[in-house]
Amino acid sequence: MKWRKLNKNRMKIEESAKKAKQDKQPFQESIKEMTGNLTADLNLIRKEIGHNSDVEFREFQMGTTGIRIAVVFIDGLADADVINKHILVDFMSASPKETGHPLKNSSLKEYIKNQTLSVCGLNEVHTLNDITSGVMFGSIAILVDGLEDVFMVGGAKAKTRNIDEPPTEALVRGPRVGFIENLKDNTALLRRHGKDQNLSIISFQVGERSKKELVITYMKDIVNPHILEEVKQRIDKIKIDDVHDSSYIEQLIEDNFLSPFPQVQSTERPDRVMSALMEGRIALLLDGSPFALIVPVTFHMLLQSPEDYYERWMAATLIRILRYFAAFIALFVPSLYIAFISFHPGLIPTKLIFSIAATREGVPFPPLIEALIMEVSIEVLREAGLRLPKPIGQSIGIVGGLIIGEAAVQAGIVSPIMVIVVAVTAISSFTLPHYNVGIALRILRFASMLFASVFGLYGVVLFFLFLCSHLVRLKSFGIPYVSPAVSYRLDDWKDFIIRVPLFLMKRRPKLLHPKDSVRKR
Amino acid sequence: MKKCKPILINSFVSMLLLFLLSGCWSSKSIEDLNIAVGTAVDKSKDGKIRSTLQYVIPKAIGNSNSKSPQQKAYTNVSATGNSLEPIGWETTLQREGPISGAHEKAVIIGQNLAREEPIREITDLFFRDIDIRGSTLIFISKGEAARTLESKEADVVPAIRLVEIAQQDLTTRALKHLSLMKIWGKSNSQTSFLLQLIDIKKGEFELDGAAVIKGRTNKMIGILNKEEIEGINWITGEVNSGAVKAFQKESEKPTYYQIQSIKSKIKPHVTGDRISFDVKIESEGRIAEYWNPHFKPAFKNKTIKHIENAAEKEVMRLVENTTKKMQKEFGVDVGGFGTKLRIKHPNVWKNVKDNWDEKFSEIPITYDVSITIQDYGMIGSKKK
Repeated sequence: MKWRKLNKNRMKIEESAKKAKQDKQPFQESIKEMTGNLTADLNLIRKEIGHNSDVEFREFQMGTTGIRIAVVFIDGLADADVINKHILVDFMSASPKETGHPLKNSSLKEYIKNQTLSVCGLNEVHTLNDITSGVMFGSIAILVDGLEDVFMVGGAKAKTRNIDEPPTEALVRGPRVGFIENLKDNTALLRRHGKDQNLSIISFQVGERSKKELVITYMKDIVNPHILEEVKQRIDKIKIDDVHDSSYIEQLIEDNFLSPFPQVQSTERPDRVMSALMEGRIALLLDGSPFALIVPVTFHMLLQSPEDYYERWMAATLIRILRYFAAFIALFVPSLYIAFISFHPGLIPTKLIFSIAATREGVPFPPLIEALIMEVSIEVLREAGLRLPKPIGQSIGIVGGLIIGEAAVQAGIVSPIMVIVVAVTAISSFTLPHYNVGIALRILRFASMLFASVFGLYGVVLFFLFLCSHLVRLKSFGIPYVSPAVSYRLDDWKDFIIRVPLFLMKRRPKLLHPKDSVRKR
Repeated sequence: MKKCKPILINSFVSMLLLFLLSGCWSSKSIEDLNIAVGTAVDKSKDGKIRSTLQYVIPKAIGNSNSKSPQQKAYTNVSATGNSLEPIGWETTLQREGPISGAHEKAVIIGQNLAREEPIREITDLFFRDIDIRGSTLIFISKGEAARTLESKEADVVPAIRLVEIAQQDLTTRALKHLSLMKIWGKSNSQTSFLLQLIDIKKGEFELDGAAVIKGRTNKMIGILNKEEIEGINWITGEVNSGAVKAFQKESEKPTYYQIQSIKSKIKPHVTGDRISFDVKIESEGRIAEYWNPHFKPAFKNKTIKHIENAAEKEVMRLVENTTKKMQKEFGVDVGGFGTKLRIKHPNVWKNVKDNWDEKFSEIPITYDVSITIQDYGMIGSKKK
C-alpha cells in the first residue's frame, strides 16, 4: 500500500511542477499592435530584431502617390527574386487611377491586394510578434504607411541539395531517391511515389523556440486509429526548445529508453516509407532532417532491406536467412570462442583444438582479455574511420585492420584465431542493413563476452535467455517487438525469416490490425 | 520493513539462483591443458599396473611460426601403481597443467595384463570419467602396450594415427573398430568378444589378428590370426571391403575378387532341444585382378561363373576354418550367433545363456555362400 501512496505523492508533485511550468510561459510577451504609422512601426520592429545584421529594411515610395512603403526581410533567407521582380516593381510602378487622394485606408488595402501585389501566398498580420516571427522564418513583411495591417509574403526559400541516392541505404536494385533536408520536397516525394488520395499528411509543430514543422503521414483507410492516436499523443507531449534532427523525436517518443534496441526505424528512402505506410504503419518527417521515422517497428523490420522485395523471392529469402545468421555471428561468436577455449575444450574437434592450442601458445592474456583488446581496438578503428574524411578513413581501415592485426599476432599479444574471430564478427555486423541495430548488437556483444568468461557456455545461454525475455517484453507503440514470433501469428510468418512470393502475400500484417487488410486480390 | 511485491522478490531470487547454479566455474585455458589422446596399460615388472599417458604437444603439430623442426608432436608420461586413478595423479607431478581426457582416442592394453585381469575392470576408469567419450577405441597390444605409443616420425601422434588406421575399416583382414561403449554391454552380459590386436613391426603399426576375450572370465584367452578374422568378417558382414582369392589351382595364376558388399544372415533353428544355425552369405563385387594365362574372355558367363565358384569355395574355407577355431579350440561364440538366437527365440535363449559358450561348440552350423561378380573391368579378352 505504501508503494501506491508514494506513487500518488510523486504524481502530485509532478502535477504541481507541470502547472508551475505552464504558468510561467517564458516565451509569451505582451501583444504589441501595429499603429499604422510607418516610422513608429519600423522603430518597433527595429527594436525587436534590428540588431541582427542580416535583417534588411528597404523603404521606398509607392509609384507616384508618395505613400511610403517598407519591406522587411532576412537577407539570404527570403526570396530575393520575389522582392526584386515582384514587390519592388509592383509597388513602384503602381498608379492608382482613383482621383481621391489620399486613398482611404480600406480601399488602399484592397487596391494593393487585388491589383498591385503579383504574388501568391499573402497573409495579413498586425501584431509585432507575428511580424518578427514571420520575418525570421523567411517571409517578407510589407509595411504600408497608414495601414495597420502588414502583408507577409512567401516563405523561406531554403538552400537545399539535390535529391540523391541515400548514402546510408544504398541498394543494387531499387529507386535511387532519398529524402533531403526540405520537408516540402520530402512530402512531395511521398505524394509522387504514392498517388493515393488516402495518403494523409498532418502537420505538427515541435520545438517551443525553434518551431519546426513535423508531419505525420499515414494511409487514412489502412492505419489503425489507436496507433495513430498514440503517436499523436506522444508528439503532443514533446516540450523541448529545439529539435535538431528527427533522432530527437525518436528518442523522445520511444517506449523504453533502457533498451539497447532501436524502437523506431529511421530511413532515408521514400520507397521504404511508402511500403511501411501500406502495411499500416505511420511515418514521421521533420523539417530539416532527411531521416523519416517509421513506427511502430518490429525487430525483423530492422533486419530487412527494401531489396528483399525487389529481388525474386528465392534470392530474397536466402539473403534474409543469411542476415539473421550474420546477426547471430555478430552477437555471439566472440563469446562462444571464449566459452569454448576456456571452459569446454572437449567440445572442440580434436584437430581444431590442436591448432588453436598451438596458436595460443605464448599468448600472455586469458581469452577474455585477448578478446577485449581486439574487440575494443576494432571498435576504435571503426569510430576513427567513420569520423575522418572518406579517403583518410579508408587508409585508417587498412592500417588498422591489416597492419595492427598482423603486428599484434607477430608480437604475440593475441592469437591469429582471435583475429579471425574479430574480423568475422566485424564483417558480419556490417551486413546488417541498419546502422543502429549494428550498434545495439555491439553493445550486447560485450555483455555476452563477460557472461561467457564467467560462466562459459552456460553463461552464453543465460545471456541469450535474458535477451529473449527482454525482447519479448519490449513493445513499440503497443506492438510486441518480436512479433510475429511472439505473439505468434502464422500468417505474418510469410514475411518474416523467409519471404514468400508476392502473389502469396495477400494480406497486410495482422499484428497492426489494419482497417483494410487486403493487399492483393 | 517495507513490503515489496512478491513477484519482484520471486523474480529477483530466481535470477540470483541462475547465477548460483553450478556452471563450469573453473575456467582452464586450453594452452595449459595436457590433452591426453592415448593411454597404454601394461603389467609392470613387479606385478603392478603401469600406465602410460600420451599428451599432444600442439606447438609441434599446428602451423604456428614457433614450430621447431625436430620437436616431437607428443610426449609420454608413465607411472606405476595398483590401479589407474592413483597412477593418473602420479603423472600430474611430471608435467605442468591439468590433464584433459575429452580428446582421449585410444586405450591400449598389454597382452600380459589382458590375460590376467578382466577387461571391464581395467577400463572401469574410462567409463566413469565424464570427460572421456564412449567413442574411445580399445585395442590389445601383442607386446608391451607402451611401445605402441612411440613413433619414429616427429610430427605423428601414434595414438591418433592408430585410431585413424582402425577407423578406415578398409579390409576384412582387420576387425571393425570397437569403441569402449560397445564392449561395456558385452562385458557385463558375459558375452565373448574380439578385440583388435596391434603390433609394432619395424617401428610401424600393424593390425595383426584379434584377441579373444572369453565372456565368463572377461579375460583374454587366445589369438585369431588375420585369416580367421576374415572368416569372422564374412560371418558377421560388418566390414564391407577387401579382397578374396578367386582361384583354386596354382596353374590358374592369381585372380582376385574385390568385395563391394557383404550381406550375411544368421538364421537360428530350434527343433525341440536341438539348436542349429544357417548362415547365408551374399556378396557382390568385381574382378580386381585376373592374370588370365589361358586367355579366357572375362565377359563370358562361363568364365565369370568359374571365378565366382572359386571365390565361393575360398570364402567357405575361411568361414569353416574360423568356425572350427571358435567351436573346437577356444569354445567361445564371437560371431554374434548368441545374439541372433536371443532375438529370434528368447525363451530358448533363457535356458542356454548361462553356459552358451560351451553349448555353442556343439551346435551345427551350415553355410551358404553366394558371390556375384558385377564388373570385370575394361579388359574382356586378349586379341589373338
